[in-house]
Amino acid sequence: MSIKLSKVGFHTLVMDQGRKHTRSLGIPTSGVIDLFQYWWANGLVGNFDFSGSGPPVLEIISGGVEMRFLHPHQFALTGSRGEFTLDGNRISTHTTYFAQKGQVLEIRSITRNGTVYLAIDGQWKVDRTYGSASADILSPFPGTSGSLLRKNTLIDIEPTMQYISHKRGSPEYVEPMAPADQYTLRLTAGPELSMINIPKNQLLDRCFTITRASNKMGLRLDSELKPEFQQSKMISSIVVPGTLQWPVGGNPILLLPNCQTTGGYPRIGVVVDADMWKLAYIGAGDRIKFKWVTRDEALYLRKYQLGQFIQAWNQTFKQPLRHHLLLY
Amino acid sequence: MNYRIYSLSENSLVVQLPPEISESQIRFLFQLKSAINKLNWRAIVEVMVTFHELSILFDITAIDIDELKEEVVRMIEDQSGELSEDAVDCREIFIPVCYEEEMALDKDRLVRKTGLSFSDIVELHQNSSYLVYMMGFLPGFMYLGGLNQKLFCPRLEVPRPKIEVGSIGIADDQTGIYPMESPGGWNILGRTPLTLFQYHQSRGTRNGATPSPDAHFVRPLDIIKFTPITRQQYDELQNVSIGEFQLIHSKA
Repeated sequence: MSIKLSKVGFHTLVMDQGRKHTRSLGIPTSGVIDLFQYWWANGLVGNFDFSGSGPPVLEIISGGVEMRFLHPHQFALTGSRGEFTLDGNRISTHTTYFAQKGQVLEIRSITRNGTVYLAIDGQWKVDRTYGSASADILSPFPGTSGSLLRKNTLIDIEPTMQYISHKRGSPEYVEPMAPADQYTLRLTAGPELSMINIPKNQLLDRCFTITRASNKMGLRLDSELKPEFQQSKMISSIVVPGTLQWPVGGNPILLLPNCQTTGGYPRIGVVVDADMWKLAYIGAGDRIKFKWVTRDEALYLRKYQLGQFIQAWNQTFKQPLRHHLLLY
Repeated sequence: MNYRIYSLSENSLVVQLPPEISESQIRFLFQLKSAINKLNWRAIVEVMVTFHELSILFDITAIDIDELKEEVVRMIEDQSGELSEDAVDCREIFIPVCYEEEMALDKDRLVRKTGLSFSDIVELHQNSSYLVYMMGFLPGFMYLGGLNQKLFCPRLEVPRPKIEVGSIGIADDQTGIYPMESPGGWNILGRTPLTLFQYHQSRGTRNGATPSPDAHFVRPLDIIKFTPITRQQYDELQNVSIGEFQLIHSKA
């Protein structure tokens, strides 16, 4: 046994890139929201290959998390800023650390609505469902693939103890997003956009506040706009994470990776893949604005962002990023 | 064939047919799905069919979307008109349902809304054949078509916070089974003791194992028939798998 969680905070989960082949079965993809920070955390502990569901990490969204290393391990934290300690000494994110047997890692606090990814080197012997370790807490999946981590859980990780050789720390490019007053998400038009009687631009002038009713399936947005709908019924159709749904007479819902696979509400737009990562750092009380982009612009943003990331990766790590797929 | 093709997200291509729920349309979409799967393009992550759409999720760095689109259009044109007989799957799956009072939580409401006696409701419900259109909403949830019009009943005004696994319900023009415990607003008229949703489980270090749809007994285009059972049979059938039940039923 390799680490023991003595405190689990509010919501700590095992995550990886999720299940990409199970939508036809009605099974959500799940998986991390910020793939870039997930990849980076893994790079820092010597994982460079992301075929399949990729290596598991811990996804932590609150302080009050404490764990003891029962074997020596290398680990790294990425994502939001916060207060993190190893045996009481402050440590930072985006850096590889070496923990001795018996040392205690604490996640004391995380910035509001933040997410931290903890990568630990070695082979994780955890429950996998459909090949993925990602926790889908809404499905009756076994062990940690279907539930929150509980206090005193042991996570079995077989140490590889290969010496990780790369430049210490990370370039500024991969530093986390600072909390802001409002966030802009870029959208491409959805197939039912024309179902609502609302000039496309009117959506842009508004700020939407995220309500407390939000969960892992989706962010529920509060809106003063009450658009009229051309028709009241639509046939259940595919939805993907990032889809902005607008139920007739209701408030919009922005779907997250744990969302259902089909939905019967008008699909107004879809967040571009280059902006999906932001959703890991946005939550109840935050305000978002939308900006429409064309498909060509979305493809450009995606290419640019991946290019920048890979450049930072190659400057830091000796091995290339492999089999990574920016798909939700 | 009247259709349009659009992208839902950067990594997807969707074929959309007219907005209607019809057996010929769903069969066409599943035939198209199997033709696309036969291409064996590694860049295709998944092909998913819903009532009137077929969605292809793919790795945009490994495939040219225009090339994919061209190929799909060619396939649609090829397939239009001819419904190859071999692709028409006619499996009949029997699912035992206990319609007794304690399982039929919305008995009174269904009687009130349909104007029928509960025994008539049960009879109409079990005498129909239901086509599995697709899986979605919840893992293992089947969208069934073919509910008798006399049984159409609107959803509960206030959804129940918890519905037992195996509960059979009616919502508007649909009937379905809750594959797991969940909140829900369907009118519950019975419950099956069978486990309908099972998952692959592996404890180990291997990454990326892909699921086989065969692991799930019921598949789209199967025909579902409900057979009534008593409370005692309900208890006896606990822990029986849906596959085992088909053998039991064929012998009976």
